[in-house]
Amino acid sequence: MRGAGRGKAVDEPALLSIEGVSASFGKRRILDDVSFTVEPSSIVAVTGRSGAGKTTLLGIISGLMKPDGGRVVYKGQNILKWGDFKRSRFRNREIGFVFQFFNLLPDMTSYQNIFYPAIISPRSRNLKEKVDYLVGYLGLEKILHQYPATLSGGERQRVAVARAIINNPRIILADEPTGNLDERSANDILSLFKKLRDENGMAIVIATHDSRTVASADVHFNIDDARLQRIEPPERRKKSRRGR
Amino acid sequence: MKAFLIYIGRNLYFSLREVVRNILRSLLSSFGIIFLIAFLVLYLSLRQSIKEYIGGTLFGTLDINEIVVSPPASGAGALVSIGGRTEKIAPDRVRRIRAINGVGEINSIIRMEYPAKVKLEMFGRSVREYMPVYGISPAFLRKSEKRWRQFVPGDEIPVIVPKFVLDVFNNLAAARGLPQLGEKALWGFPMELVIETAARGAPERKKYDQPARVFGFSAELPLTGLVVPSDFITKFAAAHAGDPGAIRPGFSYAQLVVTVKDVKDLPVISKNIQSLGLKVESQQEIAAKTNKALAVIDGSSLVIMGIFLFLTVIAIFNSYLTIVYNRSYTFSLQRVIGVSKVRIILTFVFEAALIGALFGLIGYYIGVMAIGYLKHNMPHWVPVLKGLTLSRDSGGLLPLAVGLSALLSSVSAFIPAVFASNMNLFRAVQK
Repeated sequence: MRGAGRGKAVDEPALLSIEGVSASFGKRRILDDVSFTVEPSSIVAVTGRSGAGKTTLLGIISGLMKPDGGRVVYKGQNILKWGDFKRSRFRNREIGFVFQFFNLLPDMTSYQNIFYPAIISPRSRNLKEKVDYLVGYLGLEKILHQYPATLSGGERQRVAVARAIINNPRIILADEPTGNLDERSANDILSLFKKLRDENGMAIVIATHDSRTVASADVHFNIDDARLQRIEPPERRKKSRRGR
Repeated sequence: MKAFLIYIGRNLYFSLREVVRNILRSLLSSFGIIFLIAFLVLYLSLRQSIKEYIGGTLFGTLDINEIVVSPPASGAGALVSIGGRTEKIAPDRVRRIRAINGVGEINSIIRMEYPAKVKLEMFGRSVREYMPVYGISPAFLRKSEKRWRQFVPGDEIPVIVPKFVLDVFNNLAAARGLPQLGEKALWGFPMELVIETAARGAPERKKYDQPARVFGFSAELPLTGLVVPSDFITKFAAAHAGDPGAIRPGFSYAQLVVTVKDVKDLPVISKNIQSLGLKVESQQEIAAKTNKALAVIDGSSLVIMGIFLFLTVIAIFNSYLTIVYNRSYTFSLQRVIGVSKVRIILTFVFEAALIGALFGLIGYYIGVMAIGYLKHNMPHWVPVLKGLTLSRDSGGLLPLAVGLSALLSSVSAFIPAVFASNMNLFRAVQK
């Protein structure tokens, strides 16, 4: 299966390619021969029932979990063959994470949480300028020196997004990013993802149950019974029927 | 290089921040190190001091080619004539020792057999007290009392007062309501030795007043009476041997220091002297005994430190394991945002080393304070160790204490650090 990228040149290779990935917990098969690609400037939604393997798929894409078989190819290289150091660097520089429960460090202010991934990266420069830019970009000025416990869900998730993009990654992996937010905050986060896709060329892979998130995605995959299936948006399905 | 420095700098930043933020937990986790390091500092200082003490009191007057010969019932390092009674070395034994092949010079401690009173005037009161008088040859104190050589017979008798005798004298003075006097006050103090040539109470006894003066003090002489040049005693005995009722001989040998011409002959000569029924100790034997004593001290200290070490390592390991589980969320998140396993281990171990170093520092100063306390109080508790001077820092113990403590802490934290780096990361972050 192939994900649709926005404004992608015909010969441009995929940003990320998942090829024949299988994973299981004990005897239970979670993912079975899953393959798809992620293009730059795209939002990919992955749906499925709870426990279907969405989070496991994100874990495998990031190199945090090892599958039973298959390849995860980034810029022509199988990241699963890399050592821990290289995979860690890949996560730090090329991937940003956003989680359902935000996962901010409670004893750090918003500013320090945003700063955190950058400080461990030796190549990070002009950090203050970067953080200042992100703060303005995401409208975090008023909550910058507050601790996560004092923030609303939407604010926490915006801080989490800022943390995810501080190192200017190519891919954002989001696990139920709107699952713990009210409608307005969820819409804000989805708008933010679109902005990042359109203005920064980022690819965003979202594991979700949320229909609004699916509707915002360029590509929709569903995991059912360990198999990944591409779901065409209704309007595209209609168009393809008319074309026949 | 720059990236490496940034990496180290940032690890240090994280470690310090963790230590500062969790200062109470950090302190509690490594508490055992303080005791271990304090004990180590104390032990090393004590060991060094004992070695110096033994070296100073025994080896200070003894060369490698010298043998101390004592009467059978006494020891080389023991106070001679406690209670005024002296075990003697018979003059014929001395002659036989002199005749042994390979024996060079013999320096002796002799005891004057005539009763002698010390007579001195203090604060308008006259003090007269019987006191044993010993004689030593000028060479005997050659290492510590170089001016002893300057004595010219015929002048005032130069008197050396052993520290033990000074203490006894002061106790006596206190009992009589006189102030106690220190070395400074008694230096050059004039006195008279009233020597009686016959036994105490004998009707025919003659008394001779000999002017004397305190020449110095010595902690090295294991004697319970005043010390004068042996020339004086031998000449006096020769001059008054014909006095009515005079004690003969006028002096006896209390201890000999026999110099061996060739060190190789020392064991044979030592055996020969022993066959005369005398007690013999050479520097080699003293060194062997000292080493035995130190081995006992080392052994018991090592057992104590081993127990401390074991308990400390277990405590630190347990504390760090708890810390790892408490911080599993942070470690998991660090892994997610791109911190490598190696960096997590290094950071954690580095943090442990910093805490350990801090504890080493605290332990070191507690040890130093304990030394100061013992230095002040030990002579009261164990009077024999009065001459023992505890060194506050024998040989730069601070780097050793800090380094050892840091090493211990980081080694204990290593396995918990590996646990931290191997957590089920993605699952943990989902919680």
